Amino acid sequence: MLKAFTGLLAALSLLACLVAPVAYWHGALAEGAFRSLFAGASLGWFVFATWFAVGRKP
Amino acid sequence: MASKLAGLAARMDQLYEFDREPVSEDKLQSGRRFAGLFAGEHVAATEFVIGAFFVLHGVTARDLLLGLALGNLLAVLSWTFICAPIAVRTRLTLYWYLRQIAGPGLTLLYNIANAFLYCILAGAMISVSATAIGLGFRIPTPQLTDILPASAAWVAVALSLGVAFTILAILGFEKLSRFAQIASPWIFVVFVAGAVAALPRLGVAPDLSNFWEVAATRIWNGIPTEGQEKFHVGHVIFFAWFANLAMHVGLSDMALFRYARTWKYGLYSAFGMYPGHMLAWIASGIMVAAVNREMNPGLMAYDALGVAGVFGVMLAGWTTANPTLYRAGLALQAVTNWPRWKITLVAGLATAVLACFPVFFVRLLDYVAIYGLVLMPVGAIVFAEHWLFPRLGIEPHRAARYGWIMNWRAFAVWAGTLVVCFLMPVHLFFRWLPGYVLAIAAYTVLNLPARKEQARA
Repeated sequence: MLKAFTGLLAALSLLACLVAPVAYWHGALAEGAFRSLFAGASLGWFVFATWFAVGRKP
Repeated sequence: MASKLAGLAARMDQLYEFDREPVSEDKLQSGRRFAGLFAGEHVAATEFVIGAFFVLHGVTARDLLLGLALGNLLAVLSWTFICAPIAVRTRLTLYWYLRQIAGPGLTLLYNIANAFLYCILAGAMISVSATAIGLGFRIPTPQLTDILPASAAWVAVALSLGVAFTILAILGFEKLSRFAQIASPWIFVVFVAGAVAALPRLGVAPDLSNFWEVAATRIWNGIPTEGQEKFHVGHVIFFAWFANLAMHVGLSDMALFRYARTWKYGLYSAFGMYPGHMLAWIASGIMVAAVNREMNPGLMAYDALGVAGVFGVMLAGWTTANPTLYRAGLALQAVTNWPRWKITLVAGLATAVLACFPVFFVRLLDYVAIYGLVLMPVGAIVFAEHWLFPRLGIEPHRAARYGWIMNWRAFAVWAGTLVVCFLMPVHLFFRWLPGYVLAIAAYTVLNLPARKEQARA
């Protein structure tokens, strides 16, 4: 259950990495906010994807 | 000489002992696994440079799209109709199949050539990462005409990165490989996100209404950068086709496809060619146009995505140089008989030195062409033995049957094909195809006497 949850969070993080530049392009995010969101979502991907891959609490 | 070669070959056999036997039925893998493998393996640090070079070489938007669509299709078909069928029928790696055909001596030469080419490729990946680090320290990126290192600072960064990558590869290759699997989807996203973020800078409207106009006038406008040769659709088609020549036509991906249930799994390579190569090369083209065609992957990614982009370039270089260093070490281990850590250290240090020379990074397209060209004749020899020899009644696998250390006909065809390709009066990108046909024909003709000998016997 926890593993599936971390997998979902990892997928959402990756999705956020893709949504951030689209939002910036459409003017919904300023450049600084977009870059921060992209960096944060990237960090989220590495944390949750690693957690998911290892299959246990880090 | 012969006994020394036999000794080296025996040591090499021990290294590859684990995959000596054909893959058994219960070890075959699903198609989904092949799709995942290809999707993950074909987004590397070098993609930042390749796509950008198409812009610098003055490729037009139409030529780019047409060339990439066709070239990548030809690559997929090469995996499907050339590599996968032989792998599925033999269930062997190229190493063991080539050993039966050409003898352990030639297999050893192939390994050494491969190791050397791998080191240069890893060096180019380190150079790409060095542009990201150099950005932070305001170190100028090499010019497109540079051959030797332009500054001591560049040498220091490239060497430091090379040494760091080598130490990490020695400390934990397998852990790094697992980390690379996690990193690869994100690296792909870095390309896509970087391109999207660069679009407003190029003036593309959010509804994409002027995308084609911007693409044709500000990105792939058909005007080469000063000093760069003009590329047409043929260059793009052939480049996309031969970018992985050693893997498909050169048959080194037999190691992968011997686990396929059917040769049709070759079609799964499309997951690497289209979302991978095609999209990543288009994305890096957009990013380089947004920085006024400055060939600096670190700057391209930083300008589009900020610090995370720089991290992406670093990571792409690291995760792709790591397995390349490993393969180079493995290929060289037989020659030296040193422990893995020691040979990885030597290969890594040699790679770090190569990374200092910008020629491999700024002439990457030519290097990729040469890399495929050098290994292509081996694929032609195996193709002839596998498909043509049985139909022509020529005895196959004679090196294995008669215990030859070296199949001199195979060696002559390999060397002869390279000499002919070197002398061909056509662009480097187009030489491999006539060379491949020539190698198949020459190897078959050279072995025709074996048919008569067999008939007499």
